[in-house]
Amino acid sequence: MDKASMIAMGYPIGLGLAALGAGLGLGNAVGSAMEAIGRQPEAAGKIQISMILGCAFIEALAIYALISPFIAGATFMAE
Amino acid sequence: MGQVIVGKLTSLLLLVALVFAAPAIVNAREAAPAVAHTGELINTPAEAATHGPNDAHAEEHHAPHAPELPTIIYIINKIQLGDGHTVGQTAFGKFLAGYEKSIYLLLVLTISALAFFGSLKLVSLRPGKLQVGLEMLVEGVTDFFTGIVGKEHKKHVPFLCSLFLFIWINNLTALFPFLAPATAKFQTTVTLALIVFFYFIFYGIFEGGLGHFLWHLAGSPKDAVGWAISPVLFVLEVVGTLAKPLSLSLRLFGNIMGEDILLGVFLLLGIMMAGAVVPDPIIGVPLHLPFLFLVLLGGTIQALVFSLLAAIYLSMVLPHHDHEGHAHGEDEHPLMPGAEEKNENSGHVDAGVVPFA
Repeated sequence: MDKASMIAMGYPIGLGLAALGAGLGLGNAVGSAMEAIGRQPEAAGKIQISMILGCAFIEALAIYALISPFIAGATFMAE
Repeated sequence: MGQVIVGKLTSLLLLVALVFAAPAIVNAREAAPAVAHTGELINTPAEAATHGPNDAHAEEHHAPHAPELPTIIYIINKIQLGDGHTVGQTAFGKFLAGYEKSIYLLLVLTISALAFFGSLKLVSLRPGKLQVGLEMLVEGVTDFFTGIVGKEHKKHVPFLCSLFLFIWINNLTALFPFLAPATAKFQTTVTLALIVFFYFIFYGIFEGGLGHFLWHLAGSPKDAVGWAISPVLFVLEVVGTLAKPLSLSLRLFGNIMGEDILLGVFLLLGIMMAGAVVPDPIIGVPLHLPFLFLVLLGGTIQALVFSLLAAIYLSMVLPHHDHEGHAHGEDEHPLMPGAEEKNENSGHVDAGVVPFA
């Protein structure tokens, strides 16, 4: 197997796994935040800010998986 | 009111989508060889390696790149010159292509500077719609960040507000035809993240003192147990602090670039769909229309997240005179707002921050 097909096969699988994990995490976080807002609507602002912050951290993991082939791939292919 | 705004926004985005789909003619012929190119590369890399140095360079450049929307500079670089070359093959065209995102950055900065100098003269008693809208925006953003860093640290609010507005406007250039967001370039986001990094370290040491900063790095120990595990926490916190600019820059860059590529991929898909019906389509199917809303939402959220994280990093290292561990200064002082106001006015209030009555 050559380099290009390794990237072509590995990238979708890795990205899919990262998206799976991030999706589970985001679902958990947003679901809990919705529950909390439903229980205590007056604290909605604070909960939303914390939720967006947490979502950003979770999403960052998927984003790393999205961009690492672009960064690593360029150097990998250049060799 | 809300419905009118949503309606206007929808029609605006539809217009944008159509304008994007129209330069399909420019992009479609370019994109098709690129796709074929990549396919060929994947099938027979040995053959690709036997090409000349020029081809190898082009392929190395092509392989990891996804389709992008046509931009002004892309179109300028496609203009045919008299001697059979395009502008892109001249030194000037290469300069333009190399500094593409920087040119959009300068464009955004110019527009922002014009808005700034234009707003200096505005002291109207009956402000127009634009002025009211912009003032509401600035006031809302200022209130938001004042709530996070606390009223006693109001001097940092202009920095955070300008960070937010700068990133936001840059992200939204993805919606303008023939422009591309400068934040989709890693150099831009790294610069912004390093500014935030040095800013909060400098002000953490300058305002709280080196002792407070180191105490914060040791995990803010308060009792014997805290002091006992503080060496371990210190190492962890130092690594975490060094990782902050990396994660800040990568998050913004990845999100904005991802959205840009998403638009490009769906635009190309729309062109291919139209090409299946008509042999040489003038206009593509605007399949990327729903994603324009996603770009609008994502650009706003990423700008908010970036500046919110900067504000939180800053408020963690700044000293708080009352007890630690709250992000919302305004909720902690429900008593005597007048006294608070007086205190602030005697303290350091930057020219950029107007105390809200």
